[in-house]
Amino acid sequence: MGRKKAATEFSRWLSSLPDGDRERVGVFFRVLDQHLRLSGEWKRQIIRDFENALLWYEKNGVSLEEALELLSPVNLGGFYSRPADGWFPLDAAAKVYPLSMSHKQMAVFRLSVYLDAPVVPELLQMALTFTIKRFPFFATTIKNGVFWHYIDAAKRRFPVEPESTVPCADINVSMTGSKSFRVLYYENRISCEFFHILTDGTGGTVFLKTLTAEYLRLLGHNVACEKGVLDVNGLPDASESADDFSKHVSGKKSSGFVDKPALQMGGRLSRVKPCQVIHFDMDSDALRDAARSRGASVTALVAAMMFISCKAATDRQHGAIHIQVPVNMRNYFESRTLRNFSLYANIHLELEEITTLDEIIPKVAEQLKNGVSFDKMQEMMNGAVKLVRSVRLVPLFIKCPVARVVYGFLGDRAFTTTLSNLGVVELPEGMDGHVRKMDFVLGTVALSRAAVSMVTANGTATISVAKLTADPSFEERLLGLLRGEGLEIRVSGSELYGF
Amino acid sequence: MDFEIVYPHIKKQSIAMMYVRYVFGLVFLAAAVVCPTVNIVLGGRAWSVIVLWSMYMVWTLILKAPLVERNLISQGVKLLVMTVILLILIDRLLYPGWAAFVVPIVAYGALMVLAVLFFVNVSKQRHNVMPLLALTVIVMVCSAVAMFVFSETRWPMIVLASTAAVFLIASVIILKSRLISELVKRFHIK
Repeated sequence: MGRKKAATEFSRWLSSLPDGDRERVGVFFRVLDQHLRLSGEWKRQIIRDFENALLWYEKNGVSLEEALELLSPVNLGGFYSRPADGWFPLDAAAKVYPLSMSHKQMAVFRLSVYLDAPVVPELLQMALTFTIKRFPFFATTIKNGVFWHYIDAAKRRFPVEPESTVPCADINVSMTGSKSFRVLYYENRISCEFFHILTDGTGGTVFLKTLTAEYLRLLGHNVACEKGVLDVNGLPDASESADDFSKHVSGKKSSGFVDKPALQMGGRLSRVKPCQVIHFDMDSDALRDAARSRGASVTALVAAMMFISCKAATDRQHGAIHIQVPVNMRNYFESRTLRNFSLYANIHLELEEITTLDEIIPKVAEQLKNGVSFDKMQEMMNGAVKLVRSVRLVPLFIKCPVARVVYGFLGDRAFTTTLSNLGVVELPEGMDGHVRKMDFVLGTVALSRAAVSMVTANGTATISVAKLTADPSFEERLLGLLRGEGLEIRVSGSELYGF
Repeated sequence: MDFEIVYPHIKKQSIAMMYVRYVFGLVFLAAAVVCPTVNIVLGGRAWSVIVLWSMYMVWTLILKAPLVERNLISQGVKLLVMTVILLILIDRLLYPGWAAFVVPIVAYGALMVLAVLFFVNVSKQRHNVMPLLALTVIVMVCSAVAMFVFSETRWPMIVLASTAAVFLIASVIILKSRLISELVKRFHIK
């Protein structure tokens, strides 16, 4: 809605109110003013957001009393009335992202919920304005230190935007007060895209669920603050923004990150990243049953299918396919952090070994079991923290180019593709009836032609493939294998970008 | 594979910058090879160094701007430093004898513009103060070196050094403890 049009419409509506109601709206905005100590434009925009939301309520038959109650400025807390003074050092896993990012590549991932009705942008904006204070380390902007990057508190309006770019597009984090995440909406979908310095999939899920719960509350639905939905008016706890890598590092044994180069899938790399996103939706129980019937976990079954799909997507006859599997460290250690706390395991098979599902599932399951053992994860965590500590006194202007070169040679080449399974996302009472499904999309890296991610919510398992090539061999074979298990698959996705 | 499209159609502009960078990259790469070659073959003054540096300036300031902290102050500081280097290169390689007089005047002008930008909106720009403080320190050190080591004492240099000192003192007075916390953030090793 245009600024002038909205202002005029609001003024007209305000003047049409009886004196008593007009006075109540006046008091509402005076209280709001007290909660907003921002610079001119941000403040004006937030006030306009409140006006737009009030207008939406009025048009949809919500009483003024209820609308003022739902939008109460008390929900802003003191977040916008205090200057931005906080800052956070990056956690051990996040440190690599700003060092290795380039104009061509940025570690962005995306989580979406699909609601039962089209998204109301006016209320989603208010939901984000109320939610952001609960996640103070999200309300930050990345800055250069002398030795490390850090995230600096930023008090501003955090806007929701209609989708207009490719999924997981780079986020402009360079300007003063730039945000490192974006909230998007399209039809009935709310999506959050995060630069990985802020959080991992688990933290992102908590943010998205809390945002969605607040949005549903503004629509008049009651959602319980449970199962990963935080009370937006609760106080942030220091443990939620802690670097738990440093906290849980122990023992002397550590493992490195260097691995042999992996075979890459064929197909010309696209300039647009990702050039396509494809989702396979299926019944989660049916998928679990299919995995059980083969004596494997869902992750092992999908990983085995990916090995076969990777083989179908290359003309090479020799070499090893490596699949990187992110591992949630919260499964091993007591942690409440909403920031990064995940590492990865690498599973690999030679092309000659990749034959049928029956034959490779036991090998994949075995590698997964060994790769994600507590000892392996502890060693990797020790290695990560040790590496970070060993270079902490090297100035950033030296670390940056070196990290870019090292990451270019080792990081991407070490794996063919990624399988990130967020698992089952539990939805609290009141939200489950409004959320149809979720999806999780990984941003692509420099060489890997496809990145696979997976999430299950409300009985629907969604496997998403983010592509870096127009060659459809990988996803076609994956779809064939899934259907071969007797699963009914609904396919959706994006157009092919940049071709 | 036929499937339902659940993403909006993307306008081509969103990827235009990528192609612009690609095309300019190729042109600059070609020029970076051709210019020094022609310069070496024809002989004479090393004008190709000026061309290379100018292209590097355009590349880093416009086409491949920094991904972190690209704000008016940091970019202004970067532009000033690169311009000063360009002026010194022209002085040394093409037409010598004027840089010791011109460079301080250019630096003074830029420092004044950046200082105004900072003081007009201190609450916002205090987050960007570090490049400016670094510049003032560099200016003061370079001026001292020029005056005391190379005996290049001319009035623009004295004015520049004094202005930098005044700016530094004013920043300390205005920012007070916030300057300390800014330094703590910038120098953290956690």
